[in-house]
Amino acid sequence: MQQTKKRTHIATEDKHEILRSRAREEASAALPMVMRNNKGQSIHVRGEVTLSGIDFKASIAAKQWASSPERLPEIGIAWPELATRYARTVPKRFELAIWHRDFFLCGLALGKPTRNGNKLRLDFIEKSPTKNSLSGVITDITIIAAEAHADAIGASQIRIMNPINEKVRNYYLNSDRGFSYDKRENFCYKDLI
Amino acid sequence: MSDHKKPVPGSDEHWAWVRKRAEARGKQLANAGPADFEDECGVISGSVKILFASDAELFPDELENYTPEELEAYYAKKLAEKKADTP
Repeated sequence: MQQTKKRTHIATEDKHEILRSRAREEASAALPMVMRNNKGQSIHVRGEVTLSGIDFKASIAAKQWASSPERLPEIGIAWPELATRYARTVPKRFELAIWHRDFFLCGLALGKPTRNGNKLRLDFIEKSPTKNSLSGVITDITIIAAEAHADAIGASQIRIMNPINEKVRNYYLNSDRGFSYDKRENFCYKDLI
Repeated sequence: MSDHKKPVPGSDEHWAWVRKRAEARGKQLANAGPADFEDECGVISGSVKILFASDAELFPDELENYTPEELEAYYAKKLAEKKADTP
């Protein structure tokens, strides 16, 4: 029984790893040529930004976030352990690491489809605690990748769980981003029509 | 953006459809301008607690996402409440 469960888990993990990688590839290829960061600089997104899973390289880079003096101490999360634990329990997960010039880790995100598979929950999004060239575009890149993943798995809605504050929430609700807000359960959602 | 003829999942047409939609969304987001809050905070949304919470915990009104065990507990609770309300 245990062996069968393990085999099913591995098969699901393998199938979804292929889906995750392909969806990230498609999102990478579809990124806008240029986006403007918070300093008003034009970033050549399609040439300079890489999307990957939270692999060994991302885990090593994320480990440094924990010791950053600019990271809020109350976050208290060690990404490598967190990502490993999540990967072990959620084979159908969405995972994303956003890199600038393949070297600077700028953002990480984790999520999963709801049980019936028609919605994608984005459970955690964090950007690098230090300002970097992608500051201002990390959330949008995450949205592009998450929506591509949702399309790939056949989900028709994405949900961004617990925006950290009102400013973040209002950003999603901006008409160009097209999200609505569920006040009761505190998440922003968008139907992918 | 809407595409009523959804291609077969996993086919080349499906991936082309995924990319086309991502491109359209990317253009729209690029025009929306940068997120000024990204200068301030590390965590943008979510929490560790949410990562490991079930759909039933996060969306209690959506019974279609409950596990069989959660559904059983839900109906048992409702039944108990009904009994308690009955004089």
